[in-house]
This record gives sequence, C-alpha cells and structure tokens, in this order.
Amino acid sequence: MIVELGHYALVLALAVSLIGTALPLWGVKTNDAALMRMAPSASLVLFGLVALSYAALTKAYLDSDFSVLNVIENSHSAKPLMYRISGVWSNHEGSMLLWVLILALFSGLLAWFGRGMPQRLFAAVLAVQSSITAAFVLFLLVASNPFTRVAPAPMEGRGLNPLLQDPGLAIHPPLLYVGYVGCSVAFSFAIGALITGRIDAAWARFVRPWTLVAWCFLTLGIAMGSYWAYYELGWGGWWFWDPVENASLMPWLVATALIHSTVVMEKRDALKVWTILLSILTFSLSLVGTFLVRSGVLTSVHAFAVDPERGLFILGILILFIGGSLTLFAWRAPLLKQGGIFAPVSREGALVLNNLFLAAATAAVFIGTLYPLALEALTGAKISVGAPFFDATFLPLMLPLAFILPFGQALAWKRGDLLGVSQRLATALGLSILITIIIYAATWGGPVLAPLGIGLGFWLIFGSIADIGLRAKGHGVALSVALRRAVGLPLSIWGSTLAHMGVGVSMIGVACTAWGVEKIVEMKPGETVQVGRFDVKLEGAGLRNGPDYRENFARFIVIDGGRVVGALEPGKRIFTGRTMPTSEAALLTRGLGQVYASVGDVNPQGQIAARLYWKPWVLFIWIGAVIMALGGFLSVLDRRARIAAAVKARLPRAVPAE
Amino acid sequence: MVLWFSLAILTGLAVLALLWPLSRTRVAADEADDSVFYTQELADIERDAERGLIGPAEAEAARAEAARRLIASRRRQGGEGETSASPNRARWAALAVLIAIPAIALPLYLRIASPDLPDQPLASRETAPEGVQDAVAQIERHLAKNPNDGRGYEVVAPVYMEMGRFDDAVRALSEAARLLGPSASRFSALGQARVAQSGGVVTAEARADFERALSLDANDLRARYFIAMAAEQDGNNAKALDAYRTLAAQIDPSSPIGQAVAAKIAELLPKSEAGSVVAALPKDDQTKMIRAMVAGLAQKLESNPADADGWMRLIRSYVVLGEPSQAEAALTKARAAFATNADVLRRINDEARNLKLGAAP
Repeated sequence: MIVELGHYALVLALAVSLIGTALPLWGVKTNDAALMRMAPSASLVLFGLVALSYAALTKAYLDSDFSVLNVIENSHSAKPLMYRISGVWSNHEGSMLLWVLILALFSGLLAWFGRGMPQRLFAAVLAVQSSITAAFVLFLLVASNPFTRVAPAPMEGRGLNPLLQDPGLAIHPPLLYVGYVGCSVAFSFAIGALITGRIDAAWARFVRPWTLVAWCFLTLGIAMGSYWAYYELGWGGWWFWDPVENASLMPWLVATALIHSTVVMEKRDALKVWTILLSILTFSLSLVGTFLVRSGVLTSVHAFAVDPERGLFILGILILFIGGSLTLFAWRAPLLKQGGIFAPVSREGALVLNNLFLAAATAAVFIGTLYPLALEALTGAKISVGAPFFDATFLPLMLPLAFILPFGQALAWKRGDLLGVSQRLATALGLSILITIIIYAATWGGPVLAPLGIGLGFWLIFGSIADIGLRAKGHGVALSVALRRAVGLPLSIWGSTLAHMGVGVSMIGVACTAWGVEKIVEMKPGETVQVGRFDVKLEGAGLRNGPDYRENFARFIVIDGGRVVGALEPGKRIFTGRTMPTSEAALLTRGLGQVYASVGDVNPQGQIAARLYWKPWVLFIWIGAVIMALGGFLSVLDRRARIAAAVKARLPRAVPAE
Repeated sequence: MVLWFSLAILTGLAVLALLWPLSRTRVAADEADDSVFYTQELADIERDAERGLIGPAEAEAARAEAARRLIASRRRQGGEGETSASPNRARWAALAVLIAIPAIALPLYLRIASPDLPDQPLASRETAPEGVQDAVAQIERHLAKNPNDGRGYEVVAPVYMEMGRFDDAVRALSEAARLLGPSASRFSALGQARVAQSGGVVTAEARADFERALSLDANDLRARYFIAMAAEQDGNNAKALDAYRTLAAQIDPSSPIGQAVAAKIAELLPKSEAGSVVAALPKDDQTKMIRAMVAGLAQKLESNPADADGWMRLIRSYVVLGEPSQAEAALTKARAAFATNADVLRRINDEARNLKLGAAP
C-alpha cells in the first residue's frame, strides 16, 4: 500500500504542478492577488507530495520489496543498509525522482523564504518552477516510472551496479543534483523578470543567494565526482574531460559568471540583459547535462540508462524550456530598462572581463563535448575530442583569467585606478614571482609550465590576502584597528576572498601533478619497485569475501626511507548480484600527496599487473574546491545577501565598509 | 479499501491546501518595497566615505546614483497599480482546482498503477523454509573454505534452482563440471540452469552445453528435450515436432518430462500438420491455400478474440506472407483483446519484438 500511495502522490504532484503553473500565471496576468497567493501553497503541497513519493520508494528499497521493478533491478537483499538508501538514486528512475525532489525542495524553500518579494515576481517565479516540475514528473510517470510493479515478485534482486556501490556515489549525485537543480531558481527568476517586465538591483539581490547555494553544491558535486573517478575507476587521473564531467563543468562555468554578474547588477544596476541570459543559460546547460547523462547518448560508465524513448522525451523537455525561454528572452529582453554605462577600468569592467573569459571557456567545453556527438549523429563518424583539445582551448582562457583576478578584486567600483591597484598588489605579485623562481631553481630540468602554475596559484592566494588587508587598513590606521575592521568586514567579502584563494589552492594542486610518478609494472610477490621517494613492495596476493562480493587483492608495503609507512590493498571485486568485475584502487596519504595503487590480472607466470603512482600534493585539488564552496557558503550567510525577509528587517547599525 | 481511503484523503488535503489562499479575502498589503534596499545602499556609501575607502567626490556621485535609482523604483511601483482580487475569478479558479486535480490524477493513476498489488517486503514473504536456508548457508560456508569440493557444488545447485537463484546455480554447476569432470547429466543440468537464467530462451551457450551432454550420452533426455525446444524457438516446428515425438516414444508419458513433451506435441501438431499438407501442393496453390487459411484464422479470431495463441499465429503468418501492415493491424487488435491481461500482453509484446513489429504503446 505504501508503494501505491507513493505512486499516487507522484501522479497527484503532476496535477498540482499543472494547477500551480496555470493559475498563478493567470493571476500575474490579471494582477489578481488571490490567484497569485496560490503559488506558494501549490509549491509547498508539491514538495509534500514528491517527498511522500520519494519516501515510499526508499521504504521499498529498505524492505527489499521485489514487487517493485526498480528495486529488483537495482537492489539485492544482501546489500548493506547504506547502499539500499543510496540505491534509490543510483539508477535512472530513482535519480530522476531525486532530481524532482530537489526541484520541489527548492520551490518549497523559495515559497517559504521568498514571501517578502514583490508579489508578481514571486508568483511568476514559483509558477515557472512548477512548470519545470510538471515536465519532469510527467517524464517520470510516462517514460521512467520508478513505481512499476511486477507480479509475481521474484525472491531476489539483481543488485546495484558494482561500480556505483561506493560511498562516493552515495554522496556525489545528491550534491551534483542540488547544484544542477538549484540553477533552476535563477532560471525561474529570469523568466519571472521577463514575464513581469521588471528587473532591477533588488532582483539581483533576491536571486543571488539561490545562485550561490547552487554554485556551492555544484562545486562540491564536481569535486566529489572527480575524487570518485580518481579512486574508483582506477585510471589514476583526476579529470578526464569525459562528456559527463564536462556536462557538470559547463553549468558551473556559467554559474560562476552569473554570481559575478549579479554583483554588478546589484551594485551598478547594469548588465541586466546579460544576467538574464546567463540565468537562462546556466539552467539550460544543467538540462543539457541531465540530457547527456540520462538519455544514454554517451556510452561511458555514467550512462546507465540506455533507452531512446527516454532520450527523446528529455530532448523534448530541453527544447521546450531552452527554446521557450530563449524565445521569451528575444521577445521581452529589449523591453527591459537598461542600466547605466560604465568605465572599462573599474570593478564592473573587470567583472565583465571575467564573464567574457568564462563564457568563452564554456563555449570551448561545449564545442569539445557536443561536436563529436553531433558529428556521430550526422555522419556516423566517431571521433574523440580529448585532453589535447581542452588543453589548447580551455587553459589559455583560464590562465589569463586567473592572472587578472586579483586586480579586478582590488579595483574600485565605477572608476578604478589600475596604477594604484598595481602598486598595492606589488608585494603579493613580487612574492609570487619569487616563489616561482625558487621552484624553477629547485626543480631545474623538470616540468617547464608547472612552476608557473604554482606561481599563479600563489598569486591568487596572496592577492586575496592583500585585498582583505587593504580593505581593513584603509588609509593607514593602527594594526589593532585594522584587525578589528578585518573581522567586521561583511561575510560576502570574506567569502569571495576565500573562494578565490580556493581557486589558487586547486591550481597549485593541478600544477603539482606534473611531478607525479607513474609506474606500470608486473610484479612477483617479494619484488620491490621504486615509486618517487617510496619503495613499494608486493607482499602477496589473496582472495577474500565481502558482504556481497568476492575480491582478489594484492598487498603492498610502502617504505619511505627504510621505514614501513603503510600498506596498500588494491583489488578486483566480483559482485554476486552481477558478475561484473570492478577494480578497487588503494590510496595511502602522506602529507597532502598520495601513493596510489591499482592491480590488474595475475598472468600465468604468477606476476601481478600493477599501476603504482606517487602523486605529490594531489589533495590540494579537492581541498581547493572545498575552500571555494566554503567561500560561497560564507557569502550566502552574509546578512545582506539573505533573502527579502532579511532585507526588510530593521537596518543593521554597523555595517562595515565594502 | 484502506488504500483508496488514503488516496482520497491525500487528494482532499492537496485540494484544500490549494483552495485555502483563494478563501482569504484580505488583500495582501505585503507588497515588498524596494526602497529599503536603496536606503541601505545609501547607508553603505555613507559608511565607506567615513572610513575613507572612497573619496568625497566618488561618495557624492554614488549617493546621487542610488538616489536616482530609488526614485525610479518608487515611480515604477506607482505605475504598476494596485493588485485586484475578483471574487468571480477566484470562483473559477476554485472550480478549476476541484475538477482538474481529481480529473488528472485518478484516470492517470488507474492507467499506469497496480492498486491491487500489496507491498511485499521481503521479511514478510514466505521464503524458503528456514531449514533449507540454513543448510544452503552451511554449504556455502563450507565451499568458501574448501573451494575445490565439486560434490558440494553439485549438491547445492538444485537447491539454488529451486530458490530461483539461477546465477548461483550456473556458477555452482560450472564449478562442479570443472572439478568433477565432464558428464552428460552435469552438462545438461548446466544448460537447463542457463535456460532458466535467460528466462526460458535456449541461448547459444546453453545449446553448447546440451550438445556436449549429447556427445557424452546420446540418450540424455533433458538435453534432447532442450535441443528440441531450441529448434522450436528457431521457428523450425517440423524438426522440433520430430524430436519431441521420438522423445515421447522412449519415456514414461506420466513422468514430468513426459507430460511436458506431450504438451509440446499437442501445441505444435496443428501448426506443422497443416504445414505438411500444404507443402505437398504446387507453389501457386500453396500460397492461395495459405492465404485462405490465414483469412479463416483471422475470421475466427474476430468472433472469438480470446485466443492468444491464435493471434500470435496470425501475426506471424502475416509477417511470413510479407504483409507487415496487416501484421501491425492484427497486433493492435490482439493488444486490445488482452489489454487487461498483463501476462498475455507481455507474451504478445515479446512476440512483436521478435518479429520487429511496432513497439508496445
């Protein structure tokens, strides 16, 4: 009964989302307050229904209810509890339900916290959210129903795809989905603005926290996905320019541009049309990402849904929302009241430059990702656009962006003084150059570009610190006053500083991969291989059983300077539910670097094929991403970035300078 | 009953929550006012100027701009006019909610859901008797420790088959055959497990096992039965019938396999008897006769559509005769005739897929 109740709740959600789209929009058109008031109610009801539906499916997984087709296909009675819960979203149907749940959650939060917004905008935004929900609920019910029943029910399920049976997978999709779906709020705000024909600095302030939250989760989701691929796929890299990775990178790049352009809009009432376009593009690229992953047009490990019917349905949704919104944009955007113009050398000028670089980088990734697909669809030719393409297009755009970032951050609004800024940043720049030279000297004959990358990373970090220092110091005050001021600086300043430092940290981590050591060897037990400064000795190999798998594993001892510092036990697992082997890499963290081992098969001579890596400072890559996300969260917490309710509240007495 | 009651309550709650804002007569006065936003911005500029972060001239310019935006925002708000709330519109909206919610939800739910299927959590289901499960677990533990005990695999395999754990059965039987050496019965049992694993289809792998069994013992009944079934699944009815008949002559008709064979013969007989009569005729007459038979079958099904096998034979005939549109039409009719019978519908859809006809709606 619970399963059927959940199924019905989903059907009811479709009906409610249609009502929640149509009636509030009618209210906006006729300026009818009562109809517009239906929008928040509908959004809250919608969230309740989708949550009920999701809970019902989760219960079916927990109970191993094999009368539900989705449970049969993706669960197994021997599966540990954690993977029964994560099993819900580790398959196509369940993950789409999670997608809709997060969408409904965002609508619900918006309905709850956005009550101080102008009423027409509020109703229009929620109605657009409802229409997106309607489309995806319909997709679930028609083409990917997770509640399909089977009678008679089998006694055992087929088990989860073993690649996905991993803690990384348990966290990665929800994070990424919160990011993807969070972009829908910016989209709905953009459409709401186009419908009501009103957009101003206050709009930017309303939309900013939502975009920031989405961006933070997207950042964490991408970092998590990258780490998962790093240790689960056993290829030893951290980014593969795989289409699925690119699919999440594109919305991230545009969302990054968006959170910067909303600042310009808020401060200077400019870049309105561009911001609207970015809002639309961010969510459109999220939809494209969903389409790429969910339709199965890609044949990579992520594409575990292969069904043309589904692909066409999502393509339909894609065309409806992207095409519809861009049409609305072309029609209504010229009617929006333009903001002021501004000088090129100014904070806003720098932010425009930032937007241009990010937009160009997105275009590069977009072409690199979709061109092979389009070519294959049209001519049947299969080409692969790999790292060389992206290294040649993406990096040349990112490096100058990173170089000008501290300048932009230090420039004043309206009329900046480039010379003055350069003087103030001279110390930071000098230190970074010094570090670069020292690294060159120390690693002479090593990688050529990597020291430059590290220098750039330090430049970002020092530049951010210098910026905070200058803001706190103002026109020469005592150190104690400056410290007090620094603490009192708005959280959004600290947030952006932290986020920019995170970029620097990641950049250092990426540059350091140049000093990584890779050994692909065949070893006999007792043999030792030198990997970087470590000696890795193969102790032996064996067979062992897990809860629902059998594993062939090898045991390595890692020796650093004659002392044993740890053991590595990589293996290959065969899961009972599906006879599919997966490799399980083993990691040993030393400082911020990692010794990484993955093993292949045992050859007839009794040798084990092994890949051994030493990756110095590799953790910086992900630590940087986490710092970026923390910076974003800090900005969200800024009282002035809070949603309308906070804006309406009593003015704070002491808002420090910006 | 409880389910329908719950569904009704859920619907009622959703409708009530949607109607609630319509019922409130108070016209909201909570139209947010942008001026707070700009007032705050002015305060920010003031503070920045005090600290000397911006010079007096910049501060003056920024103040002027914020003030201009504040005035513009006030003017715009005046222009938008008051919100209205027409009782008439509210009534229409309420009506729309009351009608649309159940009218969308209920028919859609009835169409796609299975309201009469209860939840079947594994814990509450009648699983294999505990004794058997314990025994299996014990054997599995034993085998984990002694992975070279072929006898153990052979003992546990039939239990796996019984429990529906076909993958495990295949694995156990392969191990048994590997460790205990080849024998006809081991290979035919392995083949049978593979057939069960693939849902009743004699796959190439399974067929190889049966052929290996027959090479060791040409009289292995199970292998011969499944080889006949393979011929039948290939569409070679005459060969299958032949094989079944020879098999039937050698076994006790009351044994399970004897009964299965008899059922197969009864099923195949009409198809290929008619076939052999037709085959004796000259080519032109053949076609004419076949068409007449197909037309007769079609007519019979029009009056008595409840014959699933008949429909499938008709669809197949049309495909063989090279009339795909007729086949499609028959397929549609067959689906309509068994729209409420999920099992038959699945069989029909499987058949259609085999014949590469239209996908299931």
